Formats: sequence, structure tokens, C-alpha cells
Amino acid sequence: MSKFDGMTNAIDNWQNGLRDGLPLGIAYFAVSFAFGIYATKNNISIFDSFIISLTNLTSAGQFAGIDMITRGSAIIEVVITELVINIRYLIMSCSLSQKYDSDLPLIHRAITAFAITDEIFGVVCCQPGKVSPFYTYGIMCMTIPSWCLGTVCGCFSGTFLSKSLITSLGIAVYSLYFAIIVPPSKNDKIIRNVCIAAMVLAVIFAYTPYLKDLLPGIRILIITVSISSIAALICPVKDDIAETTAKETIKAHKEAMKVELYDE
Amino acid sequence: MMSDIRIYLVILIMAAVTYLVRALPMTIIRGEIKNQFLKSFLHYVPFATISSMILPDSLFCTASIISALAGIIVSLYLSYKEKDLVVVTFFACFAVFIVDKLLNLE
Repeated sequence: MSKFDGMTNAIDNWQNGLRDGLPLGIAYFAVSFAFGIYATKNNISIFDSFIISLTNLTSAGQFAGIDMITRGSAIIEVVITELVINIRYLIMSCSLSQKYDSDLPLIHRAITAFAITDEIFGVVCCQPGKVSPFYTYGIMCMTIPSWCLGTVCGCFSGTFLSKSLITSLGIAVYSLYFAIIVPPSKNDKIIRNVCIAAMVLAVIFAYTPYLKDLLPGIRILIITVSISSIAALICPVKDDIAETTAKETIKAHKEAMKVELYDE
Repeated sequence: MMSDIRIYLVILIMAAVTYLVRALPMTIIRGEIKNQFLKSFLHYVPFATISSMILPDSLFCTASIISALAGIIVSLYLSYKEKDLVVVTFFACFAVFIVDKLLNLE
């Protein structure tokens, strides 16, 4: 029996997703608010901005899209630009493919794939053990409406929201990143070194001539691939780590069921 | 500016390209990867990706570098204490808001 069987389990996972999706929602509101302002400045209607946010759910790609719409770019340029900016999702998608059960129906994979963003990927991928698609659906229920609402509010900006409040929400994305990477770095020296190395490399990339002209998406991709490859070569993950995690999950699950039985 | 129909065509293409990049590996790689190197590589990917997005952008995401630092320090401390995502985010935003108000930058 899969541990994700049953309606109760699905609802529990969905609720956990909603909870973890709340900070993501706050962060997304701030970013999409900025997108709404940008779109309006470029004479994109509120409805169109909303549709872009609803169908794309990505920040850099949408900003670039606005530029291309304004310039009247050729279709081939749109395809190539979006591909280059979003190519990092390819790696994230590979990594996430291993987080779901291998016998998970394709439809769940197809729907959860829509929500592969830097932040949602971070939260889902750093969950211990396998993840239920309903957890991701919970996150999606929180983040997609917030992303769209932020966009629309940004289009109307200045009329009903304090600017300083929105500015202070700018930190939300980064505090979320810290909350994802710091706890595992405390106990795992390799993960800690991976994080530090990636940060150092990111700073070097940002201030070195030529390298600093790279698109952020490409910069992230290069750093991710190089650091992860080096780490995988020097410190391959032992199979028993994965097995231990799985065993612990099952053990915890069994104990939880025992408690339920005793309660009854 | 583009005509209405062209705008929707561009939006559709943006959405399609973005979705395909996200969905292809996820739907194609359904089994468990057995290769030791690939497995380890994918294990480290989330940490490398997320870390590479933090600096230097986080220093310039608020009204001043001082408020950003305040937010970062609060985030680091609360994450170290393994507080919930919501708690970390809320207090970091609050710290930035207060520092910006104190500095009177808005």
C-alpha cells in the first residue's frame, strides 16, 4: 500500500501545502506587484497582465515577455528568450521527478510541473523523503492566486496599498530561501559547503566583467550544474542515506497510526 | 505595440515554452534514477540553486542595504532556530519595515 492512499492523507498533505505556501504567497505578492507596475508602465492592460501571470507563473520570463511585446519582437525571439531564461527549470524538473512516487499517475506529474518555480521547487524539494502531489497542490492553491492578485494590485499601484509595506515584502523571497537551506546545513557539512560555495560563486559572477552580463537564469544554471557536479564527485550520496530516510518515514508513519489506534 | 491577437499569441507561446521546459523531465523521468553520480547530483541541486539566488540580490531588494541586512540577520537567526517558514518570513518583513521607518527612507 502506498503511504499516499486515502482521502484523509490527501487532505492532510494538501493542508500542509497550504501552510507552507503562505510565506510563498506573501513573497509572490511582492514580486508580482512589481510586475504589475512594470506591465502598466509599458501600456499592457490589466486583463492582459493578469493572463500573463496566470499562464506563465514565472518572474524573469514575464518581465522579458513584456519587453518583447512592447518592442513587437518576432515569435522566434520569444521562443529563444523564454527558453534561455527558463532553462534552469529543466534541471529543477529532473530533481523534482525523483521526489514523487515512481508509480504516480502522469496527470499529477503534468499538473504539479506547472508550479515549478525557483521558490516552490525549493520548498518541495527540501521536504524529507517522497512528496505527495497534494502537498504541491496546497502550495499551488496559495501561490497562484497570490501571484495573480499581486499583479492586478501592482497595475492599480499607489491607489490602495502603502509603498513601504510592499518594499518590506521584498525580503520575503530571501528569508524563505534561508529558511529552506539553513536547517539542513546545520547538521550536514557537505550541504553547508555546497551552499557557501554557490553563494561565493554567485557574488563572483555578479561583479566580474563579462560574467556579470549573463542572464540571471543562465548564471543560476551554470552555478547549480558546476557546484552540484563537484559535490556529487567528491561526496557521492550513499544509498543507505536515502534508505534510512525512507525507513524513518515509514517508522514515523507507523507510530502515528499506532497513536491513532490507541486514541480510538 | 502589437495588435490584440498578436499579444495573445505571444503570451500563449511564452506560456507554452515555459510549461514544456518544466513538464518534460518531470513526465519523462518517471522511474527512480539508479546512477550514483546523477542521484548525488540531483540531491545537491536544490541547495546549490537556492544559494546561488541569495547573493548579492538580497542586499538590494529593500529601500536600503541596512534594512536588507536587518532582514537577512533576522532570517538567518530564525532559520537557525528551525522556525516555520511563515514565522521566518513574517519577522524578516517586519524587521525591514521597522528599520526602513526608523531610517525614514520612504
